Amino acid sequence: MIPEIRVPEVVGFAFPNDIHITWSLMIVLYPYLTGIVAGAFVISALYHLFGREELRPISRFSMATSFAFMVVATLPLLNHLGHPERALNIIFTPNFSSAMAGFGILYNTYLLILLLEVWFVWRKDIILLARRNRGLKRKIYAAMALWTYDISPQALEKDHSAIRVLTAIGIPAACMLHGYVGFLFGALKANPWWSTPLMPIIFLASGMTSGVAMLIILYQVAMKVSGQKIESETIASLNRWLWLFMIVTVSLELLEIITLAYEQSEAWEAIHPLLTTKLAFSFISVQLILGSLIPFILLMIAVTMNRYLHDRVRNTLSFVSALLLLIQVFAMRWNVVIGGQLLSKSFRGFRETYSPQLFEKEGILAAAGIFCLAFVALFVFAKILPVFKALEEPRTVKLEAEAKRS
Amino acid sequence: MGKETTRRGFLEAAATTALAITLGRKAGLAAEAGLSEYNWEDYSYVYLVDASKCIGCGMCVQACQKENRVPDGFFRTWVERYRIGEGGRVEVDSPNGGINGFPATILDFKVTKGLFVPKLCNHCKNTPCTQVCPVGASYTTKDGVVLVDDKRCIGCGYCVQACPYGSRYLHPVSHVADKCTWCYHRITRGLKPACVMACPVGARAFGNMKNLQDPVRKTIATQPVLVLQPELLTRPNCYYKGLDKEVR
Amino acid sequence: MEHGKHLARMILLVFLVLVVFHIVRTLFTPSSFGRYGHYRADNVAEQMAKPVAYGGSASCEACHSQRNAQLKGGSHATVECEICHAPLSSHVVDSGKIGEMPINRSTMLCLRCHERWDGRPGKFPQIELEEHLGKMGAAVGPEVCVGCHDSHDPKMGR
Repeated sequence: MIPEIRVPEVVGFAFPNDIHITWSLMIVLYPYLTGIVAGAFVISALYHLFGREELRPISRFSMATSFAFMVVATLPLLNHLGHPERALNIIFTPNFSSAMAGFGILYNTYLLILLLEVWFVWRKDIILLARRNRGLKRKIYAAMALWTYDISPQALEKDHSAIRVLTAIGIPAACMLHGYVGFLFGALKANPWWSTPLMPIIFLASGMTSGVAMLIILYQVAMKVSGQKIESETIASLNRWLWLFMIVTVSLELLEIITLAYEQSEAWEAIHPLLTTKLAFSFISVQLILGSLIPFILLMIAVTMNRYLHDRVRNTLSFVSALLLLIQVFAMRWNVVIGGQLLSKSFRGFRETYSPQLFEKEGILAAAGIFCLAFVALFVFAKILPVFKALEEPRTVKLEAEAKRS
Repeated sequence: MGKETTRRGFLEAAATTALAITLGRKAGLAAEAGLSEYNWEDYSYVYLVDASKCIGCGMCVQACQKENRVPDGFFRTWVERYRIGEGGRVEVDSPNGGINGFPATILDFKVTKGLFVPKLCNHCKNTPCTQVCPVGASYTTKDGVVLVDDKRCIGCGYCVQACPYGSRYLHPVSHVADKCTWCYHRITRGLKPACVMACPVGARAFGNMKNLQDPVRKTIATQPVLVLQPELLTRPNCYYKGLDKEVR
Repeated sequence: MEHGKHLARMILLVFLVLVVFHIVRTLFTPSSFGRYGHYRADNVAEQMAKPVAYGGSASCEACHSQRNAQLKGGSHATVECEICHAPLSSHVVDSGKIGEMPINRSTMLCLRCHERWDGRPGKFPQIELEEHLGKMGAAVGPEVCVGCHDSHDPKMGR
């Protein structure tokens, strides 16, 4: 007697509360940003800690990129929270049994390490800029230098030690920051599409991939715009790292699916139709074919035939693969975050497909805006401090200093 | 009995008899109002659903919605209908949580058995939802009820994701996590939860494990009962009789 | 430590930030937080203080004892008054009547419990509406059930 109440696009049976998408596009964007943070940091660490000289031209730039993406990474979270004004509760009264409380500790620890490292790397430039400028600008740079102008070799040596120590702590901190995001999904027993110990590792590996890919694109664009030479050694090295990281990422992603399929568990009954219907485009077409297979082949050419390649060909191969891998990693985040929510915990059906609107609060425009803010932050960073080459001391100052010392 | 006494409505009675709370060292809100005591140490609540009795009328869902002002399209409790035929044919539905009952649709297979299963928060002892709350807004009271502090909740939705039973939702107006409280404002006044009160066939029962004479306690102790998704070891305080393997 | 002045200043700055954070954190943590566990204890009392909407048959008894006796004597004894009427809070507040109690006589309401559905326990009394009315020579109407059955004591032929 009761008219059928139509719940839009539920296939099978979903628990009534399960038809809502709780974690929106913003939660797709957040791990995407922190992944780039971790990946870019590792590249800077490869120079600072592991002495990869070929990465020297982008060692500062990669740190600045990591920093810029770090600064905006909280924005999608704040935009997503029902009560952003209470966001600080997460560090005022953290509940340590919650993976999410790790955010307060890991994010802030890593931010502190990154801030300190930026300060030590750029300290000499800050002091030189303080000396060069007059008025308000000088005051700001002086404050940034904490009003001490010591750039003697002994002081700079201390900076280098500090940088090495900070990088050494920074690598595990960056890995933990991004790994915890994977853990946050991977440790939820309620959701079979998330619940796997592989999740943090997949997140880390894909984070590295997206970080290196982002650096390749930014580096090439920045050099083109400023009319400088793209170092072929640097690009060749980045290509190798990108290829390595993407192979690890894709292997793990496939491993997860294959294990589920091979185990033939209750979970697979629900996940199999999810992958072949709701996620067919974003998982099979975008993540696996467009985003993994094609860049794998392109990078294989770039890496194995490196010495025969003309600079322009190498750069193009590198740029295109990087772009595709950025799409791959975004698709992976989407398929995890959104895919996991399409699957009802009843294991009997799928919820309404989620298609974010252009103008809604957590919609496409907001996400694009936040993503672009990362580039704005990087641009501002580059306006304040030199991101490619360190500043040189003026000759006269150098001579004076030497005269003083003797 | 005079008109005056008969006029005395329930709400007043409830107010003068039950509302107080004595929680450890400092008296709570109710005690400050000079009302009689409620000591949560004396209670350990438990819920029992008898699926073989449920007729799917959905009065419980309706009562819950009115008692707790649950927004449309969200559910602190709901009823699922399972219609099962031979050869593994299963049809499950819960139109609008069963709040208006169920449509008498005819299926394309012969239904050989069927059951209605009321669902609600299981108030787990080993609860995945409070475990993941990053700020301590969700917690378990000493009498065993899982609650959400709507003044501390940041609305992250992690608990909604963590609950394997789909018991939680983000409230569309207050933007905090919301869920069944077993009508904490009722049970601490000595009343039954609204859904238990509303059930015309006794498919829902509410009890106190610390009361040796409690009938629900006796049933759980002496009869076969199940919990939902026991393999997850959430240790629900909500028990079921008359379930089928298809129910998850 | 010569040439380490900048290091010392930075360490001091970090320390100051931590101290300020600790002060702010203390200021913004509610006083009852952590009294019984990792939550704000005052919330328990807030939860208890929420208003009650449904009173149950016992609360109706105070004014409607005759009706209640009739109900308890019949086959609808387990059906609470407020299921077919409305929550008490819309009728009486603080022992004062604030509004009329709605009476739902709708056929739909009866059918929610008594229509024959697949899956409904077999021994529960249920009907096919048209077949049932056909036997009585009546047509389907919006309030047809209460024409023969008294909702408070529905069993016929007593």
